[in-house]
Amino acid sequence: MIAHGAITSGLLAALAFLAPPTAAAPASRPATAPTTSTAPAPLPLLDPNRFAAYDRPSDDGSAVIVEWAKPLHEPEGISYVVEIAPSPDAFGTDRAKTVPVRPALKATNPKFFSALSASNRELYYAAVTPAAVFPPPAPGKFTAERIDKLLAARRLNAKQAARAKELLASKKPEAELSSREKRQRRWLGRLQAYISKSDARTLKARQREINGRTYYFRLAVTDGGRKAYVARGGTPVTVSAGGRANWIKHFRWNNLVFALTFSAVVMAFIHIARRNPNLFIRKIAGLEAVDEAIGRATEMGRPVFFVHGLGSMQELATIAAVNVLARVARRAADYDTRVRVMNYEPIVTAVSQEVVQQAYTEAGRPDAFDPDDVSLVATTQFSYVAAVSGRMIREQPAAVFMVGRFFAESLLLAETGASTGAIQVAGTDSYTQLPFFITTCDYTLIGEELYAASAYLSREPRMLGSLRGQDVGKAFLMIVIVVGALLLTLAGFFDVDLTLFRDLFKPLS
Amino acid sequence: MAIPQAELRRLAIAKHVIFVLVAAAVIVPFVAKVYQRDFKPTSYAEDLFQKVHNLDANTRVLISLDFDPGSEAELLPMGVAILRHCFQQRLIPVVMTNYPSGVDLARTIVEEAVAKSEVDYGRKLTSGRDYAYLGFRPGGVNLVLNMGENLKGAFQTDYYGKPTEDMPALVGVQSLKDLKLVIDITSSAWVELWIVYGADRFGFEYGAGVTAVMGPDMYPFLQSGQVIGLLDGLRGAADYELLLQRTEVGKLDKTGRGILGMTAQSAAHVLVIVLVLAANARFIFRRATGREKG
Amino acid sequence: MWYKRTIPLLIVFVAGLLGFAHEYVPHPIAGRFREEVTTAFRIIGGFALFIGAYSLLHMHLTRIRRRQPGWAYSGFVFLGASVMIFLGMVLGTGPLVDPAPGELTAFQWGYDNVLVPCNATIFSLLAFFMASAAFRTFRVRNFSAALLLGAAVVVMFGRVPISELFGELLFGADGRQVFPKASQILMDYPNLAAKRGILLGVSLGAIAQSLRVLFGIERSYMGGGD
Repeated sequence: MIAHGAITSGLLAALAFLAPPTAAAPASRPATAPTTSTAPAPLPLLDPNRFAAYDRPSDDGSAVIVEWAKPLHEPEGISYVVEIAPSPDAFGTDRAKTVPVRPALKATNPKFFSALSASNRELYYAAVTPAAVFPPPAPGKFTAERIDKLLAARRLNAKQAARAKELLASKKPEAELSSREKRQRRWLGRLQAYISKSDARTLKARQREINGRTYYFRLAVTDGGRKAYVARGGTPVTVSAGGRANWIKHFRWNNLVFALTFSAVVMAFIHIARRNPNLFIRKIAGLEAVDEAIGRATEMGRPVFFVHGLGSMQELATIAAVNVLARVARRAADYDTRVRVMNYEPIVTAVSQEVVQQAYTEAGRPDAFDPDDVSLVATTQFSYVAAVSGRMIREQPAAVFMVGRFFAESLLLAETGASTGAIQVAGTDSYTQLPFFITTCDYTLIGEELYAASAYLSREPRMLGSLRGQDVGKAFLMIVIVVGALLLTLAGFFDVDLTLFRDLFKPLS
Repeated sequence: MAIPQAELRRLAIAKHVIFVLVAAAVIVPFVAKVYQRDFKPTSYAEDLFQKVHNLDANTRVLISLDFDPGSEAELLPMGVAILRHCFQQRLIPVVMTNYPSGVDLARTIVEEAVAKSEVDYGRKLTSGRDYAYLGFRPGGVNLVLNMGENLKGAFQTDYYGKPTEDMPALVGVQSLKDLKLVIDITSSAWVELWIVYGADRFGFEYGAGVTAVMGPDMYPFLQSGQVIGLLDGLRGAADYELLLQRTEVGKLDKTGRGILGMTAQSAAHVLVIVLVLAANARFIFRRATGREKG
Repeated sequence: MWYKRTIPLLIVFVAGLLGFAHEYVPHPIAGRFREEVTTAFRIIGGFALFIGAYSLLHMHLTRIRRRQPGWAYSGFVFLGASVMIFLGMVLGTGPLVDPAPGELTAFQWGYDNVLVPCNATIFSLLAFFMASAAFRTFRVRNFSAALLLGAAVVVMFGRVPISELFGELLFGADGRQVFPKASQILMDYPNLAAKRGILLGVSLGAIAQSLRVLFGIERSYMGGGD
């Protein structure tokens, strides 16, 4: 059941490539009765033994699957209907509902059903949402009657209810309202929005409750006039099922396995690095240049600028940038050089202030730290550019570090920095901006080199170990890409279906 | 680059000359009103156009204008062109935005498209009946998910304060599942969020309009079919306007900002290429004669 | 003190695990978790704005007080902020006014006619800077620089409509699409391949960095020392 998406299915698919698949013998299915040329084609008989209903797997419990075997012969113009009832004795009454469905073969939906299974290529399915068939009553419009109900349910107090009723009753046009009346209308609008929000939550809860009940299903094939039920001994077969919220998305197994495996490899290398701290890491020119840049600023007596970019604190590029800032600030404090940090986001400002202050304290110069050196400059993109560019031109920094998340402003900042003659070190994971930095800056940290900055600068064994684990993951992906491309190319030549192999490496949907 | 001062001074002069030339290259085509209209639109722009063109009349199309005035230059022409196409085909566009700073811009786009279309097609277009502008609601991705369950619940009133419950423009649209096509025009990650939290979940077809620098990022989605058509940058807007013009050849001139901007863009690109080639010619000559290092 | 480090690390670990698990759990509880976390982010962000505003205004006030170079620009910051606050409170959507939905307020006018054109002006500098950057840096110093230059020229030229006229001039009527096709081939194959390569590396790097943050190996985001 859970075979789809798992590694073993990939191995089976690889084996399948070596041995071309043979067609599965079709299961015996009930035939249709012979027809004369003038009588309408008989409706196909559906196999009652393969008619079933069950909770849809890997979902939030909002749907039930009804499945049945595809008939051998499907005449033109037929369709399928599902009858749903809250109890077995409700069929034939107005408590039961009939829903037309558009079936698809189970094998065409690898998200929920295994494409490996031969039977899935013969089974139709339709997803039925009980809450759509038996919808909960709508909360109703915001009228005086509704307000009374809300008051009775204690969702409004008496004062609110009276005020709302009074405002609803007022038919004055907008243009004739006084300021006070306009304020009251706005209050009413906010009240309605609040009520409708909680109505929406209540509706969702009721839908979940409806979907979770057990329902009874019957299936019929129809040509618009006649109807033939799935029957046994002349009696329509009834099956039952209810929706259940699941805890695992099975169609994401491949993703989860990869994520956990990769994480395990990284943690393993972190552990290894503790015992063998002398791990090799190649030179990253941009990070080697940090000391050189700050030294140059010290010699010239000009400040160092650190530009964070537009990222917020929850972005990895900004976290990495803060690591680089710690190093830059520490060196600047050691050399008694001013470092000016220009921030775009308030939380990043607070973190940067802490980092720089700590750097000065560790260098034994806590008095030299000026909080105004680490400040918010603007919170919109081009205001930020204007502010930073203006300061660059006025203060003529000797070194500029642009590390973090950047967008269209990258070239504006880099060109302005270049025009001042500063040495520029950039680092970003925004690959659309990399070309601009590469052409205008002295050193550029490309993508993951930025994330490696903390490990590289601190040389801490645990961090270096994580880099090694990352490299193993990359090697694995490179091998998969090469082998996969080769297999798919050969499959094209030999006309072998490798959909299963491809499905291993993409989200199934 | 860390450049010596003498070189900086020389470059500063060259820079000012370049700036003047670029300004001229951009301004002159607008002043001289030289427009090129015989270029071939890209295949993905054509795909989006055909998708909209083949929708039945009165089909509701959701257009999300997720950008702020910073990206107006490239994305506004797309928005106007698509809306005009919707009005031409008697579709009913439902417009919204996920950017609080883009609410007024989106309103401007809608009003511009309405004004132009009323002149072009000779019929009055009324908000709430022929189109709907829903404005902005906070929530981000949660808003999209809520719209997927109950669109009118997510937007109880439109931007102008009219209730959406019985709005004629939203008849038959309870949620995103009832929409055939959603188009997102954006300069941010919203283009992918609409795929992950919208198209993949609720089953509508999805077209996108993005800035030129983001265009290549969308190619994998085009290849996989998750995006059925794409407009990238001002060229994308020009492609769409051209396709729109061709549907009414000889009738009305629908030259929008996209086509107007193409000549300026062509001139600027050619200028940059000429400058780069000239600089390299000088560089190669100086290296050959021993006056240039490296 | 131990709890100053331990409690934040614990919060990061638990929240990170929940965020990771939420991607694999279809149960409605995962959706509710995401909604609550998103709401919490917005609330915290609102408070953080006060920190930023204080930092900004304090910095500019200091520059004015000390008459540092460019202190007049700091005066403009206060002027602009004061005007927009006044417009917003009194003539915008602030607590002292009630504009009708859709009504254009003075605050909106200020935003549309001052801030937006200023943003557009700064953005428009990009065209000039690109030209000057290209002029300065695209030199055929070595093979890879020549390759970069060639690709840049092909793509820049192929993207604009005038290339079709040149194509027709050089190769006849059938040659109109030569340059656009060449540009598209470069974008579709080598460019996309390189982008995907960088994206793969960045994604793996992001996972490794996230693990370091999750398990408390990387703590720089907390500020202060180890």
